[in-house]
Amino acid sequence: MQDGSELQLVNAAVAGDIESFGELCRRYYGPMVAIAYSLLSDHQLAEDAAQESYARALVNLRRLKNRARFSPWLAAICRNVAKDMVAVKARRIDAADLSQAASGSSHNENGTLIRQAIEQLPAPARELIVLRYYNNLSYEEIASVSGISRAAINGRLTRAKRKMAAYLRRKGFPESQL
Amino acid sequence: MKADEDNKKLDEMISRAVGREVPAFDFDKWKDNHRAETEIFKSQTARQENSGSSWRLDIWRTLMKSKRNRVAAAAVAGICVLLTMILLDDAGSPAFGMTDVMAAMRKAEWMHITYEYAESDAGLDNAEPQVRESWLSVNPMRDITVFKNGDIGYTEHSTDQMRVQRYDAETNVLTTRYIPASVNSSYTSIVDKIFGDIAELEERGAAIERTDSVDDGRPAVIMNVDFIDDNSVHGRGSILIDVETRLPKRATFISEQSGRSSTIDIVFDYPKTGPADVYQAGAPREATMKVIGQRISADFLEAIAPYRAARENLPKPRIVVEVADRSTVSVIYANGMEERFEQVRRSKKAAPPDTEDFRAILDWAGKVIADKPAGPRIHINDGKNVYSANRDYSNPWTREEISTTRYGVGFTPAGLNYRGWPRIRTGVFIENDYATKNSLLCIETTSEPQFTGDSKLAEAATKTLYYIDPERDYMCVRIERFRHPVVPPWGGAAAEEVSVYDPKDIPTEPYLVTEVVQFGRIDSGHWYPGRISTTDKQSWSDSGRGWQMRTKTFDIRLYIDTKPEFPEGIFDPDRLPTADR
Repeated sequence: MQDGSELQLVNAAVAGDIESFGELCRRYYGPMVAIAYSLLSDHQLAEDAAQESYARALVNLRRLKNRARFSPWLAAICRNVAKDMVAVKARRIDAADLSQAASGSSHNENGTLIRQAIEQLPAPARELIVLRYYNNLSYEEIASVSGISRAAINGRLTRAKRKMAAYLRRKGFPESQL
Repeated sequence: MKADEDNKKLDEMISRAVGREVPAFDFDKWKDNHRAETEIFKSQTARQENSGSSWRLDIWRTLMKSKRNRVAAAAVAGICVLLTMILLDDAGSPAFGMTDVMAAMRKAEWMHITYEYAESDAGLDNAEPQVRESWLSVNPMRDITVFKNGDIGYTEHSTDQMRVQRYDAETNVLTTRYIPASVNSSYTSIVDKIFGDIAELEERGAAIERTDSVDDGRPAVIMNVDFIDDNSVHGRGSILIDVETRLPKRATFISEQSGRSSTIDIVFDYPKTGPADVYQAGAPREATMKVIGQRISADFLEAIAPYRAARENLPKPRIVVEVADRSTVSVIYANGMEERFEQVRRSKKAAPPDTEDFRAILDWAGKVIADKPAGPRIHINDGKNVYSANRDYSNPWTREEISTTRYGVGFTPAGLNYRGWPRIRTGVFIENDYATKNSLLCIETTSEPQFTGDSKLAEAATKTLYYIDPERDYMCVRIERFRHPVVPPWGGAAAEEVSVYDPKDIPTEPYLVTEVVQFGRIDSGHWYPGRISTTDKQSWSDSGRGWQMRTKTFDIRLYIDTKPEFPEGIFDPDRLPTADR
């Protein structure tokens, strides 16, 4: 997604064209919501975080040093906003509570265990998984906002899913489903 | 090979668990909700500077930005007042100081504030002024805001929970959310919030003028402030304070720059009472109700206090070894605020010893971790952070540091807290035959169903009963979970089928029962669960003939040492395993 047209949009926005900024916001709304969701686990709060990150981005747009890296910069703002919301709004993920649903067995159904498996991943891997599956983003879109190569994304996604699979096995998840 | 091609089944399950169609972004609406930022951006453009916001805009930004916490918005109104007072204080000639005003504001049980914000831009069509009206009360701490379009916001804070309500006039829907309060959003007074917000404004200089006046026949003081800030924005403020009550009554702030100006008019009054809820604020009682979460009542908090105290006061120091179903061994070391959790799982090469000997099991777990097979994980909680080390089949040890605000105290999914005194955030105390017959307390909690992005059922509505034994240190001795069977494993029912998942229409027979079947006591007399049995009637398994629901039982045994000798460095995160050791 990082192409000439995006750079043109960023340049136009920095020059004062707010509608260009709006177009950038539309393009990255899905990825930003996904990034926020990876930290907040709440759809509504994730959308609020994405929108608040746009507010911070708009007033600081002229401080962006490398205009070709607009989307990773925006993603960094979004992470910070979401982290603030985690601390303040208390809509936190509680590992103990999540685990409680699956206590000591593999009896519980899909959603809880899978989310728990995502939750135990390190933050960067968790974000990558959510980016990929939350809104079905392409590798190109993920590469654009994460600032890493497609090959690296592929490797990291593979490792993250192996970790999830290992976790699910430990929880007694049926092997035939993995 | 792409990661996606590795495992289609897992991909599908992840998509179902977290997948969601993100709605389209409405930039026009966003601009409407972020007029302050848009204004800053325009002013930056006009100046062609890369600088930040002006003083006036900072205030309006704070006023506007928090949709969820109207207290912050109201606090900003107070900032206008207090800024003037601080500056007056700095000038060295106050008739009364900030402390007096703060004290007076604290005493006011209710504060009613009307804001009007208007912009004008020479040569352009100017937007209609924005008007909103808020009421704030200190005890209970709540704020109610009525917007010009008829929407109403209501937030009530308590130490355990926030009740956040929003009435949408367009759809006639009143949404109520019960949100657990975090440490950082715990009850603080409105005035204390103001203190926090004004700190950064104290350094600014301004010309202050004081005039004695009369307002409604009462002696008053008018403070005028006039200044030009770092970004050449000319600001003028005026505030009227009642001399007798020390309370602000009206304030106006005007900022001007390059032909643009903005005005905030604020009117304060301090009624004896105000709207106690959204209905008194104007929401129709026939509005469609949508409730998310379960309310924590004052009665519940009072009744559960002994349970929570018992949970907090479990004997320490201690080492607890837990053997779950003869396959997973967890070891929990606890000393003061420090906690360490290790978990290893049975493998073909390493099975837990078939013994009741605490030390033998502990030694086995230590050996498994030292030998570094796949599977072990270790967490250390030092009260501030959780340090985690994990090892799986494909990777060496990896480490992570996480703030405990995410995991909370007693974070381990095993051991004494988790098995005997599980965290119960909300619920209601009820009476039933089992509780009465066994002289137990019973708490009922419910949860709403959750859906995936494609409207499939992710988690059915549930009901849980916790049975607490006041004669055994308020230990939770039995848990019953209820829900409708989730029919397709790893799938979920469509949204239109979920009426049967309503928590009010839930089966009367539990699908899962967890019960303490053997009790233990340590030397101090403290009770602990020695053996726990779980029966799960909705355990899905695939034995090669397709998915089948079975009944499965689990057995968990706990062993405890309350006079432990902790190995050196056991709570030191720097000594967690790394990729090299």
